[in-house]
Amino acid sequence: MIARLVGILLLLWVVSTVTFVLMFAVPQDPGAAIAGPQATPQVTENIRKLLGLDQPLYVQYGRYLWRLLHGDLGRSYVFGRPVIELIVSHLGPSFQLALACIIAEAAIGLPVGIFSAVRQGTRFDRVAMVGTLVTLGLPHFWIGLFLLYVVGAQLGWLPIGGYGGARHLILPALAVGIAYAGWYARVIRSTLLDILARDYVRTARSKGLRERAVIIRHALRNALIPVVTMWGLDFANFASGLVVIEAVFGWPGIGAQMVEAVLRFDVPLAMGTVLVGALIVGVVNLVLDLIYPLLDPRIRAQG
Amino acid sequence: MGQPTRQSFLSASARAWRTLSRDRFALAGGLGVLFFVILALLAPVVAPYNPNFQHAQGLSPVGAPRGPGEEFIAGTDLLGRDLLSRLIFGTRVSLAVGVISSVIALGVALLIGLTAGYFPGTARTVLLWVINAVLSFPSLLLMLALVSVLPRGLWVVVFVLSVFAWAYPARIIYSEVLSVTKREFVDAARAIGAGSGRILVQHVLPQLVPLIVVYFTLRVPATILQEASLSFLGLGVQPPTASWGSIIYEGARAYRSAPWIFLIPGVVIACAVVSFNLLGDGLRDAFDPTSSVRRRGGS
Repeated sequence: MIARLVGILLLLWVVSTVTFVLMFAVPQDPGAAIAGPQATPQVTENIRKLLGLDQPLYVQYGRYLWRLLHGDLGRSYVFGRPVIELIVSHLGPSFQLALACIIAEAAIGLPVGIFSAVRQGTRFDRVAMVGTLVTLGLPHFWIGLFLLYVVGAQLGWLPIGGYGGARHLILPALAVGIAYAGWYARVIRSTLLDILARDYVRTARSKGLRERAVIIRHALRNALIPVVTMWGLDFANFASGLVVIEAVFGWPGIGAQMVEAVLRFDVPLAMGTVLVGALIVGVVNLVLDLIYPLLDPRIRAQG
Repeated sequence: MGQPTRQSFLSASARAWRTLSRDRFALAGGLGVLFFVILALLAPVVAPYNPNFQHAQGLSPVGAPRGPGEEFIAGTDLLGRDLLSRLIFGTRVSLAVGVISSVIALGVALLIGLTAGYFPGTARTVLLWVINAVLSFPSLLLMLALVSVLPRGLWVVVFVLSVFAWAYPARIIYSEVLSVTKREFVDAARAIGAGSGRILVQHVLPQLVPLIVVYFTLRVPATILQEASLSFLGLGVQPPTASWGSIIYEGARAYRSAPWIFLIPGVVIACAVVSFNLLGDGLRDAFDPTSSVRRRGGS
């Protein structure tokens, strides 16, 4: 547990050092970037002094880390506001969307995969497996555009983007759900097939349990364990950057903000988002490690 | 002692080829891959027009793009350029980015995986730590961060797509090297006085070939999808160069009035990705009949 915490801190330190190096790799002078094209050299110089850019590199690095420890990610070049404020204000929508997306991918993928496993070799199984092949081959943002075109624009059933209530969530979540449901379908299918061949399933069947009970009570409970891992990892990935989907649907999450920052060369905002993303991934992984033993008694037994 | 290794590899590959040639899905995938490779190589011959030429008759009198029809089979884009020609030349870019950055990623992975697997001690500890650190990076965000400080262009895309992609294959290669070096023929080679370099190149490397071939075949489509994402955000290849993703990016602006511009490249991407995946899965089954679980190759 403590080792894991240290691991996260080490990772954050590595990522922050990488972002620091990247900020210095910028060919563009931050002072000039903030001052704007019309600024006199004196103004630019003053801004450089103000930011401490005239100090030696190791001093800047030390100050940078010190500020990070205090939650100070610097100021956005474009918006002039503290980066941390900008990111925090976009975290809510990001988490909402990430949650909706993992629900969608499981809601689509798991039933398909379970049914495929139970009816292995039937036409449904074959069609489902070819289907997952195709959806996994399509770019997820393309599925998003396709849904926007068909459901949003042609049928007019749902809003074509923007932030709002549940109605605004449906299309982006569905796009991600369709795009990645294939992984869930495949993983649960192959795990279930593996489990259905085990001895304890044969025992359950031979004591006269109905097939439905065997699958739901005995097989499925164990088959869901790898799915929970996938779920957690996806949540971490999605919350820290459903970049492209947020851009397609104009969803105001940290991913869309990241794209804007990159396009407008707002380096502090971009680097801040990377750090927060790393933090989210680390924390979610930690939480996953904590809830794993609750799900799987075998892990609990190992201590 | 080099003989047994080589012979067993040859017979293994002969066996793999037999399995592969009976796998209809893998063969279909292989044909698809061949089709796209030929299309990319022969782009100037096959494409009906110059991909960047803005045809006067490519836009309607009010400036709207033309839908698929006789003169422009796949229609035209928002600037009146022939979409089919752009798709064909885009095949070059998308495939090249996919292949080159996969080669780079696997080259680095091989170097690091071999070193970590063969040389125990500090080198291994450090390398494994680096591999795990890179694996837990928020890689998409870091890729974007890299793009934000680098000049835009094709080679930056290749670099950015390979810079984190080596970690996963490096770990796979590492564990494979670990198990290969425990086998008798490596002991035997060492016993007759072969040096580390000779053992690695002559005895360990051939054993890794199936793994590398399979991973490469599955890495290319994953990279194609990532390139499409970057280009779709306007951060990939820069206009007027076409890649599949950048065509979707340009088409997205008019997805209601000219849906074919974004629809067609998506279907093309899916065909390419599915082909590579089918071939890769087939190769894996052929090399190792016991593994049928599909692995997640990065998103």
